[in-house]
Amino acid sequence: MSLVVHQVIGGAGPYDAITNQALRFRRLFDRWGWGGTDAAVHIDPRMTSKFVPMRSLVPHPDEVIFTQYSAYTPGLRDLLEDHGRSLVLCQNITPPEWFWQYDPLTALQCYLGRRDAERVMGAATVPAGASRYTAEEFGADTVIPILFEAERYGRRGELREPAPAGGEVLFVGRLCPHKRHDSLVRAVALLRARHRPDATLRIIGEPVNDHYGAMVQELGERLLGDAFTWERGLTQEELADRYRGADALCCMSEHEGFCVPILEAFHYGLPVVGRPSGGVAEVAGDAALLTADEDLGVVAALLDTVLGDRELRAELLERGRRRLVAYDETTTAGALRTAIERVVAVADAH
Amino acid sequence: MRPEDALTHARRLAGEHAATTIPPGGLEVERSDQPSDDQLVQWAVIEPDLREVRSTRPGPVGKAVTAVKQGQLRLLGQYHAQVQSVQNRLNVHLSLRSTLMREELQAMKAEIRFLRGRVEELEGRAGIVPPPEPGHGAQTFGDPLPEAPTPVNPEPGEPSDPFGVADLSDGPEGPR
Repeated sequence: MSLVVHQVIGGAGPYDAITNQALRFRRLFDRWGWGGTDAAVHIDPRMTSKFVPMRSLVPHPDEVIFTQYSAYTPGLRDLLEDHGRSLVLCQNITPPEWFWQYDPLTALQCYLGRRDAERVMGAATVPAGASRYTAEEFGADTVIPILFEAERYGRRGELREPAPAGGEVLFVGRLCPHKRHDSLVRAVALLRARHRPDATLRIIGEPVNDHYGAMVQELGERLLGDAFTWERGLTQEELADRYRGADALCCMSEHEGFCVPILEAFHYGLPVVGRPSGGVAEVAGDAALLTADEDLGVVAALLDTVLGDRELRAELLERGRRRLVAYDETTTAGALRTAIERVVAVADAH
Repeated sequence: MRPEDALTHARRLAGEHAATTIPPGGLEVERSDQPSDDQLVQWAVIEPDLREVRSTRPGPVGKAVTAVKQGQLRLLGQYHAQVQSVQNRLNVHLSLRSTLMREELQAMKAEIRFLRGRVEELEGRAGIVPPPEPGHGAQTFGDPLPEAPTPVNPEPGEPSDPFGVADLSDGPEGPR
């Protein structure tokens, strides 16, 4: 079946995960012989060759609109309601209560995004979520996972042996309140105080704003001193080096729709410790050590255990590899194609 | 160790080391339903960081563009200060009004609760059975009366009702 599928996203930028995924989806469509245009409401000047303004999009009734919804997108609901063939893939939208105190503009975007999500999903022929958690949260019954292209990450990692009293704990993700970098710093401080005095923490990510980044940095330096490192703006190769140099990934986030860094950790052979929040438990499956214990000493003890037990790390590495198979590119490509073909079938049936 | 056994082991380990703690203080993320009044007042005063005015282009071209932008800012500094002061005046006024309005509403709600309690007490003494309110269960007479609200007294010289809401303080309209 040859189709025309137009993609619509809120903002198109060179370092934006949704944008990059849209570009990879377009390559899939090209491979399937499908046509279409990629459009966005806000377009970074560096992306004008790849995206057209959404208002210029005038789809034919037989064509399909595919949108990844992750933030309030003015005009999107009207576009979908006027068009009878659409697939809306809802990505994670963080609840605003995490941001009001720290970044009110982001809080407002999250508030509007979540408020409008119900109507946007309601206007879709087929609504979908990037994980079962997100799908259920926004009233969808279809799951199209994040497109995880293992070849982008280079060679896989192997089982490593951390220093007896040390080990590097890593976390990759934006410095946002719900990611709970504060809990992570305290967990590693407890790890050093109780079990491994030479353990270190490296966090990588852009802050939601400079003030919040400074607060995380202040806490890290106060509790961990030289054992704390914060990096941002890394290239893909530099990021791969950091994964390969780390001994465990610790994700204390309290709201995640999917959490790609967990799959990245599996790819690089890192054991994962963290909270079973949102889509984390679903993505990690049985391949991570997750706890909802309030006591951060339990997280510290889990880190100590996994860093010191080679048999445990080997088992987690093996299970992580199996999770990667479950989330390989063909899985997402198949789910996406099935969902789009379902859009056509449902529209034709009406 | 099997992954399934790790959490039990970790909990035991954490219990054994519970006496070893880390210094308190520093960032501890909290959720909130909305910004506090203090935050609103802080944010009302806009203070854009002019060092953030820069080019997004890399390399020497970016440096040159940044220098031009910063130069324009210096030339227009006096004008921008004027614009900021006008905007700040409005922002501060609105945030202050919002805070005062919230305090007024809280006081009014407390007063309504107090008056409702008084009416129920008097109805109970007079043997009047009040009609049921829509959406409310049966009232129980003899419950302890709510405490009297803290009156919100205007400062001497201030208008007694700056927002024109005094007429609402008589309580909700409708049958009782």
